[in-house]
Amino acid sequence: MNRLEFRLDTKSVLPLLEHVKPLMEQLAIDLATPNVSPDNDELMSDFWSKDLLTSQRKDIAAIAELFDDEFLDTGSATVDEEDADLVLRGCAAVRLKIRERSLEAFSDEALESGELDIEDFNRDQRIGYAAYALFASMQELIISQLEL
Amino acid sequence: MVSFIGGGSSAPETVLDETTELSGFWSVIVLNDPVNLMSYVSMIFKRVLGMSTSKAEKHMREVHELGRSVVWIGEREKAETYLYQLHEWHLNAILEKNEST
Repeated sequence: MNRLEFRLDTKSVLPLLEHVKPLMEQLAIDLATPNVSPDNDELMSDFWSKDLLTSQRKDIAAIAELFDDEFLDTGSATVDEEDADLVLRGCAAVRLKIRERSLEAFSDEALESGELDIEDFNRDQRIGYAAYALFASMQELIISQLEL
Repeated sequence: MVSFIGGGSSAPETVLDETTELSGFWSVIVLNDPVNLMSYVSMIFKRVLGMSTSKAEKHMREVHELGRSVVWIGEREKAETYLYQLHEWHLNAILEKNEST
């Protein structure tokens, strides 16, 4: 994979990006997963979390760059091979945050199996789930290209 | 473990116990989460832990079906390195002392 281009309908994607924007801002402050250092030492645990957060900020910056003003003009988002890992991780972080923020009403089993009745969703859940699916599709596409 | 042996007016002597809490073998364990895709988890096992495709998929299925999978066993320092990398990929992972080795 040298470069992967996504062509998306900006009108459809814009509400999803607006939905995830505050989540991405939150991901600059909080880790996406409750992972903690294996070390009992407070200082070492602090280093562990800070290093993870620095790494996560790079992931989120890659997602923000993907959906920049140029994307809003053209509907085209490109992922270069050297940025693929950042984008994959950024998608994972965003999806974890969507699950925590918009899809917390659903059980792990329901979410994993995808057996959800979208008709019963409220607006926030509907948009959140659409964004959750969009970022999953992007991950699937990137992984399929990386593994060719 | 560090013990201090008194020695009159001379400086305390430090004796290091070789069997510290962190010695021995440690298991890197990945726990299930309902969010990360199976293909993503398999890819990470291959990338981070150098697993073959079939081994990565076996461990991914274990995580998915049993809720956890021991993906690596070895010395603490390397286990911590792998754990950090798995955390960087946003997987839910922990270390546990391997009592069977």
